[in-house]
Amino acid sequence: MRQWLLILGFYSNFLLAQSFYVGVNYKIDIPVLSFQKHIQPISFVGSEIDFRYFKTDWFSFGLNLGWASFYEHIPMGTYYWENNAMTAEQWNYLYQTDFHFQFHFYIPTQILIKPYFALQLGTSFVQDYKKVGDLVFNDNGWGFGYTPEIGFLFHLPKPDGLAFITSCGFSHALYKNNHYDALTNVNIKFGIAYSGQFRQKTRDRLEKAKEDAK
Amino acid sequence: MRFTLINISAQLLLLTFLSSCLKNKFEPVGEGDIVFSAYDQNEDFVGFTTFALVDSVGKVDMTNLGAIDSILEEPYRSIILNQIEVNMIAYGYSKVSTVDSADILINANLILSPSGDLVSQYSFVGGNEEFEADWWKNAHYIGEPNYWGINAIALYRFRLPYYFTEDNGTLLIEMIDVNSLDSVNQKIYVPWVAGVRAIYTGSNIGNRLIQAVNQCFLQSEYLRH
Repeated sequence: MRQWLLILGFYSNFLLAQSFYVGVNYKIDIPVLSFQKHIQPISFVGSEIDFRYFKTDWFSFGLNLGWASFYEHIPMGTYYWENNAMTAEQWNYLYQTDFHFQFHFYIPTQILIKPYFALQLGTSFVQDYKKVGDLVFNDNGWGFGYTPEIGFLFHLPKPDGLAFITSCGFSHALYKNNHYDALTNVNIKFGIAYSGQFRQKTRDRLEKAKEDAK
Repeated sequence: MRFTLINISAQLLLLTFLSSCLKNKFEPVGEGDIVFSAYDQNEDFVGFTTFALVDSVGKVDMTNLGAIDSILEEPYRSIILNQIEVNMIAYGYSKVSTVDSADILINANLILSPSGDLVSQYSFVGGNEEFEADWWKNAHYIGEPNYWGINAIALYRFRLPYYFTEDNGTLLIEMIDVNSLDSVNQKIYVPWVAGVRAIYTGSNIGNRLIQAVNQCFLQSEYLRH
């Protein structure tokens, strides 16, 4: 038991060391362009896990694992083509899972808010289900994807190392079928993160405040 | 202050993970009916004025050749036939009781085929893009040409819709053009077909049948006089 605690302690310290960052985000996705024609409603069901390594004070890189769910119910309607007609209800479901490398460039500030630009690159796994009446058509696959993003980190004075994060990005996954040319959406994220770097920054700031007071 | 922040953070974390598990993944609750129709684009439906309606509705079990239940039970049988008649009259056709005085004959059958291979059961006849559907040969199909006293096989001059596959309980309404009889080659043609998938499963079948048969005609405006 003690061994496990030591191992856990070692890795916790490692992950929460000064240069590392781990966060979880809640994600809202707004479909745009051709994807919006397939599924129009905004997705309020999305999340991601965000790992970063601060190489310097103004640059970090890492991994981003995200998931979003899209859904639309199309009421009963009649469709005509050639010598055919069909009346049915339709349901569209789409699940997008992202595996992205990410790079962040931070703007140094003297306040608790830290703005940044980011670029995420990687692959997306897409599960696309279309239900027409009692028929289900599915289409699964992978596509290259990227997301330019701007965001803000809000360092919290206490507890040490904690920060809130908010960001906005444009996600583009190169995955197409008969219904859309690519998976494109604008996403808005809210999350919470922990990093040893923030902890160190807070300590530095407090020390500086003490010295100024003297 | 410290406790409040930790509390807020914990709630945010919880919200994040709970929201990802929310309801979007559940299957929708609702009827799975699909109403379909198709027609021969070379046919002039305005030329038809009288119709004869089949006297019963077959229950065509394509999965079990030995099935003995060949008639669809009441009240579904009457509902289907009544709704067809109401719609045909509303579209300007007159009902007659004999084949000799009818321009078109209307059949209705319920096809049970969970195996989902109806498309593959089409047989190509001749070189004229003429298609034959297997259910016409089934012992329980009611309304094949011989049933009406016509010595011919019924053929389509258009391909039937693909969503016939993977089905269970499809109502088929088919129209035979009496004037198209080719006595020499023993062929007769089907210029219009309509139907409803999955109508024989689920609840409230009677009301769904009424709406579905009405919809078959609503989406086939070319039949209207």
